[in-house]
Amino acid sequence: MNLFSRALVDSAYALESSQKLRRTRHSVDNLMNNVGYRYKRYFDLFMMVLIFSSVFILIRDVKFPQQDFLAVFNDYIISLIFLVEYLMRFWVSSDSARIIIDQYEKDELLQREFRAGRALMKVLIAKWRYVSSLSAIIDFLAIMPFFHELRLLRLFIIFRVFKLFRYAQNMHHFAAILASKKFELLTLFTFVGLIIFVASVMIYVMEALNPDSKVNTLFDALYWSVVTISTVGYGDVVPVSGEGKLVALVVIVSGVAVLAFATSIVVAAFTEKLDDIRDGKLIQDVQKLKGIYLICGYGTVAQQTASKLRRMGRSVVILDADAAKIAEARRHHDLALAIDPSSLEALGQLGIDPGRQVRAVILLGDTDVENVYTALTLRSMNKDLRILSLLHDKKHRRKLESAGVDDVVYAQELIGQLSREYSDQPIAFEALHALRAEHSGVVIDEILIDERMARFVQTVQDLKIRGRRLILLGVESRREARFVFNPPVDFAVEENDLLVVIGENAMLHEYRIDLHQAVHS
Amino acid sequence: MNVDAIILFGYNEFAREIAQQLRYSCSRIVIYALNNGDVEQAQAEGFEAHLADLEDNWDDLLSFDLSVTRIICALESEAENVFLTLSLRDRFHEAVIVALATTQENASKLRLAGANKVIAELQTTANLVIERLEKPVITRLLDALMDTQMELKVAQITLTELSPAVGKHINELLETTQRDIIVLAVVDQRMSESFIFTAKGYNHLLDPGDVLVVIGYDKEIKAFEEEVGGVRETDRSHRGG
Repeated sequence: MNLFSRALVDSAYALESSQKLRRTRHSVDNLMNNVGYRYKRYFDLFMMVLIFSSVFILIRDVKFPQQDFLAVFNDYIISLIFLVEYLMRFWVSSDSARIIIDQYEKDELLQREFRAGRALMKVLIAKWRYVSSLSAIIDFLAIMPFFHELRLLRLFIIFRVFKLFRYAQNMHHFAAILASKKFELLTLFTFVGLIIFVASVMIYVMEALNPDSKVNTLFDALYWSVVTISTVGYGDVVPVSGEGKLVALVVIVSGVAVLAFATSIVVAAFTEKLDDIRDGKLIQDVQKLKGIYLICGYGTVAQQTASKLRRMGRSVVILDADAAKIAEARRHHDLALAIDPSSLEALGQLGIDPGRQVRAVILLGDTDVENVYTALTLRSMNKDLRILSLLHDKKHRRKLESAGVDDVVYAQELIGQLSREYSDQPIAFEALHALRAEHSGVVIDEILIDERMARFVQTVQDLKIRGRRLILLGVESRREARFVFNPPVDFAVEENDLLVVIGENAMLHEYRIDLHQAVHS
Repeated sequence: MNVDAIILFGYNEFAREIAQQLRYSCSRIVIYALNNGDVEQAQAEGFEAHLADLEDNWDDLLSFDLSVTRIICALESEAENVFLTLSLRDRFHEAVIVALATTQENASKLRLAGANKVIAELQTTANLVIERLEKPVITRLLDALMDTQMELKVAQITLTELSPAVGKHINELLETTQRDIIVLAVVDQRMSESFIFTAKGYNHLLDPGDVLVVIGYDKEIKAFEEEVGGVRETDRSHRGG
């Protein structure tokens, strides 16, 4: 390997191993291309404001003398910002260091000499692919007003409007919808083009020699054909001969047909793509969420669970492979997606980080088989994910636990327990049930002693619960690894201990605030 | 336990679980099912079971002392369950009827039909799922309180005429007791559903017949019972709710 090739490979490895550079590149890539990135929305908004400002200044220049600061802002500042954006997009469009390394490692594997030229050619091709893309060309043209001394280039400001396609997601969708009907639209335009061509030639032949007719040139004929077929019909150019009127009749009828055809194509495209667009939008919404409760499998229990969690202000996402069930879930305003939760590939479409964004998964499939399968899929994705599953048949409990389910809920057992309790001590049962149901205004809640609180609270006495109309039922003590019922005032409270407190909702809320304020003071 | 017998209507998966839970704490469980398959299954699992007809006038139930019997309606069909509850209430005014409902809407109908207590399966399941995730410690604690095998218990103590606690305010009682217990709530009218949680109603004046709901270890509860001169009761019949 020659000196240049060695230097090239070493540089590529150096760039690849630079953590700082990778982080920067990742951030820039997110800002430019990742619609799920939280700051991208603000960046897009900023760029759109620049575009509209630029066009506004251009319009204002037509009838008013240009002010210096506006000219500088439009020709230099905005152009420079667009240039920086263009260069950043150019940078992240392909990973040059990676391309060189891949080429080097491939050559090593095949035991052939590494040729820097071949690797650099691949880098150039990758970059050229970006530079020659329509969106990059528009970006480039939007920078042109920088050379405003050339008056023609000032008109390139208008190209900045096309940049809006980059930042407005709806325009993306619109373009994608039209692209999905490329064949039909091409057929339509071919048909329209053919009719215009034939009509233009015929009307020219019929009318050009008639002194009363306004169709004197082939361009007049083309203009009349387009105006007529579009059903606009200005009436400034009209056929005067009988033959010309006959051509007009054919063109008018064709125009109606063309419009109907065009409308049906666009409507059909929108109808077909509507679900995809909605799902895409929902997925984007999901990607922004944190602390998600992922409900897998939709039915009556899922509906109850989701609506209660939503009332509590939690983020709930429902997944089910059955589109009909998802449609039902959406009727209840739930964030629901027709994604098979037992498929890794399908879950990948969600594009969420389970470890970071999912608080817990709730498996509410129709059968234990379904829940076991989904549990295994999710567990293979993330070993720390908290998974709770509904159990349908008692004998499958072990299977669910083996599949990695942390919590198994067997509703029948609970109902049996409630019935027994009600038969045994009805009043005590009712009291506990009222606490659980939270409809009496009195609730039972957990308060976590966090690191800051632990500095301020050493014992139960420091909690200052007495005289607050709250009942400290007990402390889940990490130190003693057990629940300490009704602890004495000198009982030591430590970080990560959980207080179980009963009281009125408002009282509890106030107490939480006071605890935090006491810490801050 | 003062409840002597359980009459269970239906033998679906919920009813079967109820029967299993009550099997060893109740001297007699009788199951009435609407089809032979369920009757045979209940008998095969060791329960006394009979075929029933919704048109029946339930003369069979006259042999039970309904003051120490609980009737549980757990038929598969919601409409049949409501009809059965209505028929039983019509015939036995004082019976304590517990009914299972699938939804809250169905629960309202069962209450109108005369069920003393309705357990809504869906809501109960959904609540349990959420509780497990949101308040795991509380869930464990409440489950433990409902489990008769655990040391920490919830109990109900009825104050008698002679009880030294009568005439005191609830906060006085709480300040003077030396027992390691927590009084969770007081019920003024027997078996009423309107609780006065001590966290809310500190100034409630205790009367004879008031029921205290207390949480504590068995020994402490017994000592508190003696201290307030109350009686641990487990059997009260009521209407409404």
